[in-house]
Amino acid sequence: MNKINPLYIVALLLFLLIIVVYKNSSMQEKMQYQQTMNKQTLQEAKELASLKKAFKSEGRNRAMFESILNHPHLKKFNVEKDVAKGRYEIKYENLNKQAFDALSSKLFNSTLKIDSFTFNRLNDNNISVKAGIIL
Amino acid sequence: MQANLTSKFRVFEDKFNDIKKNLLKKVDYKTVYIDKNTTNITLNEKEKVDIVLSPSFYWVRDEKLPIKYEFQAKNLVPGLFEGVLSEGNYSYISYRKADKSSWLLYAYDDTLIAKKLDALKIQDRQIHAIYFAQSELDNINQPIKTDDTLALIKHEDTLISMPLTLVENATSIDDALRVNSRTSHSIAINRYSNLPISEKSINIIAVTLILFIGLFLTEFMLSKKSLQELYAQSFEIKRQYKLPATSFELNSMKKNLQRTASEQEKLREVITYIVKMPLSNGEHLLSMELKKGQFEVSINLNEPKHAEKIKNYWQKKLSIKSMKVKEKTLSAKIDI
Repeated sequence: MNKINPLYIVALLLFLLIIVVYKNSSMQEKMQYQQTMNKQTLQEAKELASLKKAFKSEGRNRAMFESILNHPHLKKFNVEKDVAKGRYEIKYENLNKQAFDALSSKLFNSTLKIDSFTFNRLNDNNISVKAGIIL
Repeated sequence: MQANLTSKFRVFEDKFNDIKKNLLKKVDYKTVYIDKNTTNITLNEKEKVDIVLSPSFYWVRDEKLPIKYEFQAKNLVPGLFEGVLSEGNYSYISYRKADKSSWLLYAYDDTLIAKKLDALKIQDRQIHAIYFAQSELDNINQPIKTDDTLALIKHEDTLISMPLTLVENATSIDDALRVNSRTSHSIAINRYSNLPISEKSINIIAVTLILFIGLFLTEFMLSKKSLQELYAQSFEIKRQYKLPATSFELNSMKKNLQRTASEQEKLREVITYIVKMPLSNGEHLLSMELKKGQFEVSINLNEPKHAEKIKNYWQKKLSIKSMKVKEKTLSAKIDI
């Protein structure tokens, strides 16, 4: 029997090396792509989590709204509350200027999802306010 | 009944034996004897043959060696032929004799054999195996006529070629080859011993390539494992943050929340801009209502013409849907 041409073996090994290098580089590409995807997914997940926390967290939003209503300037005023499914509405008939400033500043500086807001100046000192948020 | 069954069983047994015989039958190839003087071999195009080479193609030594295995002999053989062989590229084989008393060591020139085969126009695909006369005709008892001028004789257990005129009662080589079946001591011909690159260099290149293949293969396997971990990490992120299964759902959810965020941001910007309007002393907001994406604002003015100043201010950033002044009250609808 004849021996195989050693150059054929070298060529075969070279061919195998090319295949392995190609496979390896394609695997590296896949890995890099997946790494990027994971980073992106994590970033999106965090972004989504913070958006959810701000706008889709009923308990948190209710507590935040309650804490505004418990502000020392507002506490002494009567408030009508209407909590329906997914919505929280309040009504003050007679707020003084200081209490109105406290309410509007707290409300508009929060991340609460404001659905409605109405105020009427009754006289120089009194203002009626109606506000609603989506829980 | 029993006789009938016995006869059926015998028929079955015979058929089984025939099949068995056919399956185990060793394929016998035609054997041709080649000497340096051989000038013509007639073979069919598709015929496969065993080739037996005359002693003119190899050197043989019968040695007692303190070794047990063939691989141990491999390193010793070239040294034992040192000084005996003429210049050339030699290959070596060795095997222990049947009676295990000593080793037969062979040296042969691949190029020489390959050239002869080429000269006789015997192609690689026509060769089943190549043997030495020493291994295949070891048990001859009388001279064998190999052609018109030469004969093979056995001298001290070694086959040698002699002029035919010096021997008597020589039998035909064809008969001798037919009587003796082929052994397992076939040889490999290295047709490529005269390559421009030395065997050592080829070996170095091959080993280097194998090392690189191993290296890249290892990296590939490690990367594959890392990729699996990355897939698991991705799954874990989705599980931890309770992300929807598809990117379509994720995008839709994100879009909705982003829209809400942007609407709320805009709402705050608009109200901040409205309340920062330039009012004179005595002027104030009477009412404001957020309704269906727009603000309805009423402002008490000192003078009706002051409305124009407020309008100019709002127009810089806001979209005024309607605006009217009745007596000293300005009413406006502003889009968010």
